[in-house]
Amino acid sequence: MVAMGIPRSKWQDEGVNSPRLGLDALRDMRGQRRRHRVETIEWFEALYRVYLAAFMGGGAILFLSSVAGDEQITGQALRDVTANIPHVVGFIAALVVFTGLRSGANGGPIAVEEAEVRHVLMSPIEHAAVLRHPAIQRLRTFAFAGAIAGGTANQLLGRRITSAGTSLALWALYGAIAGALLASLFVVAALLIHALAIPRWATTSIGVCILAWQGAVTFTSSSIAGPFDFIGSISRWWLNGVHIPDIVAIAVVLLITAVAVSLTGRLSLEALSRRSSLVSQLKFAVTLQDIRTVVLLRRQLSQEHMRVKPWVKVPKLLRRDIVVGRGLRSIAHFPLRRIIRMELLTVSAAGALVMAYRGTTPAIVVAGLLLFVVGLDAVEPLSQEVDQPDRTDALPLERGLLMTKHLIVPALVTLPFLFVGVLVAVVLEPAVSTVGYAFLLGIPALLGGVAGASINAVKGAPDPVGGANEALALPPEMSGIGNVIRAAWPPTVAIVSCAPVLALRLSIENNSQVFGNTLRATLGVFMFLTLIAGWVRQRDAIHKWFRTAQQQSKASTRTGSI
Amino acid sequence: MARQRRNTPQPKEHHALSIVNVSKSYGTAPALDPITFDIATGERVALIGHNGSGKTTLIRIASGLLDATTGSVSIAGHTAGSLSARASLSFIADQPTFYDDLTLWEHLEYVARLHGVETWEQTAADLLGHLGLYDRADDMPNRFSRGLKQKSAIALGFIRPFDVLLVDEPFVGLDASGKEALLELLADATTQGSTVVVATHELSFVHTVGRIIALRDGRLVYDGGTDGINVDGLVRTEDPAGEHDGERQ
Repeated sequence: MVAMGIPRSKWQDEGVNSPRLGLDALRDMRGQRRRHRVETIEWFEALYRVYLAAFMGGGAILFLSSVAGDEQITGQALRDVTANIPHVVGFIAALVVFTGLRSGANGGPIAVEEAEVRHVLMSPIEHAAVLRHPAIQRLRTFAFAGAIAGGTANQLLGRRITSAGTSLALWALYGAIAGALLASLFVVAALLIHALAIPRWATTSIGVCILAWQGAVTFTSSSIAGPFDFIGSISRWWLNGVHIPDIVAIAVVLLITAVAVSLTGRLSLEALSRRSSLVSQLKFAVTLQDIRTVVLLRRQLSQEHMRVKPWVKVPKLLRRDIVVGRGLRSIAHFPLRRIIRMELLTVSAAGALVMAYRGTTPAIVVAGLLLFVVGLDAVEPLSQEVDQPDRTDALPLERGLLMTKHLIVPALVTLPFLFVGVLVAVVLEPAVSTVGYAFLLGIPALLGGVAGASINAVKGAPDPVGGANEALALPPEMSGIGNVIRAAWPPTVAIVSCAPVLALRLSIENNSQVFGNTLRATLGVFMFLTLIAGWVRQRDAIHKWFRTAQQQSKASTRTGSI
Repeated sequence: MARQRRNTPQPKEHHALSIVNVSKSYGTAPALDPITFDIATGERVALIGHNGSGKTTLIRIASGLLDATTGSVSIAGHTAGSLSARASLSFIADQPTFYDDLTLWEHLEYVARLHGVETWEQTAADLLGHLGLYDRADDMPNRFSRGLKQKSAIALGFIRPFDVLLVDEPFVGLDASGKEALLELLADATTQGSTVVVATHELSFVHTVGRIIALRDGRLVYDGGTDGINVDGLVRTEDPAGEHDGERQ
């Protein structure tokens, strides 16, 4: 028997409410860990990272400025821009708040280390004292990123409105203030919802109301003000100078921010514990551009589980092909939340396609990306198969054939979403011909989303030390291009599949063979998608052929050199 | 009918651990049906049950790490998760967790000081010596093997004061000397008046306790003494003998 004795604590003498209990240790250890981190920093690597960030940031700004152009905005266009800025920026803010509310309902926005939860948050120290620091850090990061984005956007706009006579520095400053406030709203909304433990359904309702209000103000000719118009109004101070009501709104936001930070002590330990490990895995997956892992971790973070009881029992007839049957069974277990999300994304994508039809060409990028996300959910049976390579390889079935069969169910699953998309198109463009063209454009667009997601699933996660190790010898500027192409290819397929809407628009503008041109564009996309299906089927064979050819080439080079 | 321990109401005296009508659901999936029991100060209890029976969920709710869907938990009269409850309770989880950038010795200092322990060095050295970790004090526990991580977590659980010790599957991954050292530490804690609750399948521990609480499929199926009890019967997933397989034999 040992007789070690349980140690005695200050709280046994002074009570747990002793204000300094544990706080000295917390402060000392945070300081010590900071020093550890500084000591272990590879300064050359840190400087290289700064250089890379400047390189990428500078490139992004140059790209954006080339997109924005330099032509001066004058006359009616200027009046439209100045009138719409508050609403449009307000709508972006409403979207940010909506995602913040959802994040809070899912246990965000803070993610502390798992060890911090286990050792610090379970010790007798006020949680607020521990969590205030990461909350402020999170606010600072978002505000900084928002300020950079807002400052850049306003500065680019300022170059096109030199008639305002405002210096570019002031343009940037006003944009930075608006951007910082806008981004901070994400953290503030999430903190409040999490700390006040507002249930998810109530949070979604609040978010939808805010979005609907700001959306109505932005997209209709309503004369009422939107809840976040003031942020856009700040970015427009170059027009009328500083606006007092905006200053009052800023003060209110700062007050709410202070309240949110003061409530950090009420954050749920369960949510913090759940997020602690998931968020670090998520960051790692994002670093590796591993979209599948990101999707899975996002589902875990938001506790989106498959239904235990399927919506419907898959009939025996549909289960005759075991792969198709397995796919249908997977879809039958989809949670309601996922189905609603897919519907909302389809509705938004249909809206974006209508915008592209009306003349906003970049809207096809939005539509393509939204349908790519729909596809990521739709190809779940295929992704599950790819997640289990050992099992797949053990099957007495060619991998390519298995994967191709797994494309059937996701393609069928998009059908109900197609009808929703057509409905949206008819509501936004009420005409008889809309129905036909919506089907003609909707089918390839939805299948393109599935095709992009399938490529993403089949190619799997990037292997940082495997086949790509030749790239490790290259500088990041060079190997980065390969990574970007690899990551951008699947969503690009989805975006390209939305392109027939441009053929429709151009045909109407040029008054030439509207149906014929649209049909030809659609058939072109179908051929493209067939090629992708063929790639899925023959991918292993192509890889095998390529490796053999490579080895033969190396062998013949060696023989030649001897 | 499952055997339930009868607790005489003692309104003025706080139980070391009091679980009142506690249930837990993950979404629509129930993990624990409403459970009620009290554990008196100084008791030594084994929480047993098959895999997925709800032991870890219950012990995490008691530690304040999970929120109960219904019901309440109190530790020495304080609501679970409150400042006072956290001061009174030490929890050793089934999955040890450490900082990436602190050595084992630094972990011990940190946890001890967080709990207001000012003279911790001797206790830390004794604990490490007892668990066979003295030579690893300056290593990073996050890089340890499963067994060494478990021993490190045990050291962290004992470096701080507690009235109630909750331990989840502590014997997993431990070698024979580690198990022996842990059993001695648990016995020592009880001797000094602490309440010890261990979720385990380890029979060498179960046979040393005065009370067993058994869960099956999230329900409390047995709460009572250990004399002549068929522990294997209690941890089965099925109940072929009806309601009585936890009966004394």
